[in-house]
Amino acid sequence: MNCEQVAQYLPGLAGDELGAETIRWVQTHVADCPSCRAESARYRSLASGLSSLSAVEIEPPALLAEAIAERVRNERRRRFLPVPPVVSPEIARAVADNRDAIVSAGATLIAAGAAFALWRAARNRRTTRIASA
Amino acid sequence: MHIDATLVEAARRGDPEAFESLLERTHKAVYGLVYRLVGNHEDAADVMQETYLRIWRSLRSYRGEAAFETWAYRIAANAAMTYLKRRGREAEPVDPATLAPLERAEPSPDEPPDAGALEEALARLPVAMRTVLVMKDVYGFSLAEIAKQVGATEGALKVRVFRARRRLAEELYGNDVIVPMRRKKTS
Repeated sequence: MNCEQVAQYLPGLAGDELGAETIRWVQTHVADCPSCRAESARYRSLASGLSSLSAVEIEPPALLAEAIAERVRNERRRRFLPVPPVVSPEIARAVADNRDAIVSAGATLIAAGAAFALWRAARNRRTTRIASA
Repeated sequence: MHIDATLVEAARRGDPEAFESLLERTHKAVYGLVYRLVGNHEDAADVMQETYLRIWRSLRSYRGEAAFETWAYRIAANAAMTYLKRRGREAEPVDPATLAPLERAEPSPDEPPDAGALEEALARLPVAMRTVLVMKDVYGFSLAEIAKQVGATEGALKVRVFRARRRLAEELYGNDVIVPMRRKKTS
């Protein structure tokens, strides 16, 4: 067992990731090796420094909490609004695919309606003339 | 941060003021985690919005098995990981070779490096290493929890954590004081 073999386990010595057997094996080497002992101590210091970082606050941007609160308020309002009627995707797709046909059918209907109205008006005028004659 | 259970219960029942009070009391601590995971203020602000929307949406399902702050941290880590996955390579820190060299800590093995140097060294790590170290060593997530968050096996994750600690030590102390590892033979 030499330093190069032990080195890969040294970062695990300060954590809870190594099995008991590996810890014993690594510690046996570390006890007799000044450079691995120093490195192992360095990892312990790193672990202690890292765990205390969580208490170090990082200042969030000003008004972040207010922006989040506003976003949640909007979400709440949106949730409680009445749901608008929804057109099924199949119907929306069918309308989009046949738009030209639907427009020309609509135009034909309007033209037919106008022609019928004109014909009725002309007929009413003729009937009135005959009746008055 | 310690959060009063009655406040959580009121927010859970839908009291908007209780929710805003929870937000006010927790957002700085949660921001610390999110910022350390994503690495910059702009992305952290986006992830925070997503985090608190998720908290608000799932508050009714919170049963109090874990402390509220632990639960909030989990949601924040999950939102940050989703964000980082979507960003892909864009989320990687600037190539360290282009950065000014880190002012190295005196290689004293017994004293922890100061917080500023640690934060800077963490920020230089590749995202995959930084995220596992932040969750495991800074915030004390379990390996099983992190494995779920990053989508890796616990075995693979252990290796990643060891490599990340080693890389962090190299950033802080330099390669010359770190014991070299045995290289795998390549045929």
